[in-house]
Amino acid sequence: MSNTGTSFLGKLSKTIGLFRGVFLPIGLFAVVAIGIHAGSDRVDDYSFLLFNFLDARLDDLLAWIITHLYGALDVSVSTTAAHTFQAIDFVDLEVKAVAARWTALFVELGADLIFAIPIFRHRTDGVRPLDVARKVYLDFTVLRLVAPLAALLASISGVLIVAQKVQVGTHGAVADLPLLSLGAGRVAAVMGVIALVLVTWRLAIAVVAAAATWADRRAELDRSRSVALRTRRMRGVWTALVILPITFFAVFQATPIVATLRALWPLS
Amino acid sequence: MTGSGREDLDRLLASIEEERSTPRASPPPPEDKGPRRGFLDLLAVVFATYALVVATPVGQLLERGYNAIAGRKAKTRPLISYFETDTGAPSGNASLAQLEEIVKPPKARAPVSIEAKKVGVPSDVARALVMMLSGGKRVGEHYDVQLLESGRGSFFSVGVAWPAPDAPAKEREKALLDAVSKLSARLGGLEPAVAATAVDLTAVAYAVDRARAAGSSNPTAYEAFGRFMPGDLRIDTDPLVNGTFALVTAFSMHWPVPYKTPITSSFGWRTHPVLGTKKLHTGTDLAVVTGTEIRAVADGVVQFAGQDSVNGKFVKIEHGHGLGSAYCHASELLVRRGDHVSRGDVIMLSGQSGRATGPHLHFELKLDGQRVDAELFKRREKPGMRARRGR
Repeated sequence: MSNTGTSFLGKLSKTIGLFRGVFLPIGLFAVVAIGIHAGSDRVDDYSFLLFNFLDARLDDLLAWIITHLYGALDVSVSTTAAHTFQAIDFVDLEVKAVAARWTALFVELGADLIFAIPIFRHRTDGVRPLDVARKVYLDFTVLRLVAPLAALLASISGVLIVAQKVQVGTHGAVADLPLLSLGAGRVAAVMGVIALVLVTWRLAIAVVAAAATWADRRAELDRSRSVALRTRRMRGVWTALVILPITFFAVFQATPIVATLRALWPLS
Repeated sequence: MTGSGREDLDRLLASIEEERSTPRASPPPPEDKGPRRGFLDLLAVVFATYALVVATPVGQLLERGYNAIAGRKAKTRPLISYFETDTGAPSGNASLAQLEEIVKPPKARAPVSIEAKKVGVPSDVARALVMMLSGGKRVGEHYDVQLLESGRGSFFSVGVAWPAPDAPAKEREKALLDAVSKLSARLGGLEPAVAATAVDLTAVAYAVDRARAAGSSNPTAYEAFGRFMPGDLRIDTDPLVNGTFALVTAFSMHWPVPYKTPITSSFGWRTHPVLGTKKLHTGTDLAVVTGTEIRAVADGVVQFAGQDSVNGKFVKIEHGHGLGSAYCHASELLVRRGDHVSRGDVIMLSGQSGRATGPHLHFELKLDGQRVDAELFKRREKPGMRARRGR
């Protein structure tokens, strides 16, 4: 086994490692953001249903108001009908579909802002899972419970999507190369597996640790400021309400785990 | 919490901190190997960043920022196009938007249909594909098919030479259909074959292979294999495959009510019967008495079954590849969201709910989000069609 401390590659790796503080946060952010995007795709579907429901209720209300108001003012039936139809025709299906997509986009960007960015700002060295669990038990805050859990879900989805994109991208890149074209499928599969292992090992675990660190720092800050116990414990409720459903959708609806792994593993 | 309880908690937390900060005698703390794994970290970050850029709107925002700083011009997708429709067809598909003039299908006996029959390509697919690749432009009886540069490699792979640019339109039509026939045999389906006319055959074959490995029940469906194709190739394949097969479905659709049902108001600009103003009528009104059975025009999934004040009780069905149909003003709905329906299934009973002056069916057809005149796709019913529809 080569000594990584003295070999050229070892030295190069060590030199690159000196800049980890610069590039590692980008990777942490990317993994979480990809997971959040997978979940946001489902937000689009649910937003459309919500908008349609709200629009129907609003239409009913507008129709009721116009009918009663015009009735009191003795306005003709045809004018009442025309104005009612104009009012309720204001938002059609297409508008609702586009609005749902914009909503999903804003939810995704908002989730990145309140979750992916705070996470990537934290160092992760030395976080022990047992400590995290003990602190949740001994000094419970919502954020301490939710942040590592949501980070874990986002990472699972994120890692699978990264592996798939690397696999497909690699195949596209090597398929035309004379020497590699015959084994392009194998090269792509190997790269996909490398990406899966590497991103899980070097980034996904770090993402969970960073989320725990973030929640921990937040709780410690509250303690040092003598924030009321109830407020302290409820810290992270909004994050939980927004992030937890998205990351749940990401893993259990948007990212077919078994299918992705099956597409990745066969070296054919 | 009582005072003593809080003191206990503080002591416990202090002990944890103390434990963490006190060096252990045995075993010695492990060396921080982080910096020594800098190369692996960098590689992992490169992988993750690549996926972020190709798969998310945030990534595209970052790419746009980079392009702006570097002064580069690049093709970009609309940000909301990252949220796909239920069919997997991304929005922002430009080609079908130009179909206004070509949506009228050629006759089934057009030369392209005859040539298709010779090489074993279904006539509807041939007609739709030549229309997509020609933009509906004709030279005499033939379509002026123009091939995408990126798809020429596939033709070479199956031994079909693409004619010179000044070759007669007939030869180009023939070469295209010949290639589609051979590509279909090689790739196991027409959807991958059509995709391979736009991009390299290898990428499509690989995507189909991956979809099969993933356990897809229909790996040659674009919805299944498309997600295993690189994003930059999908810029070309999405409009072509979705456009072609949306047209194919539309060509073969059945009418939602008996064929001879009178049309009381066609698609297009009209004076609104209630508002009295000029308004685009976005569908076709069919005179049916309350309680008439309304049937799905093609196979699909119910995307919406509910009501609002304009459409009354209505059903919206997605047929795949960006083709959708809507049926409004029902008295009773017989399907629910998520139901799979087959062509000819009864989905509702007609009525006059919502904004309607009398009982009728308002029927809409959408291609890639654009409402089109459904009458253009109305087929003459052959003898026995009614019996088959009444499944």
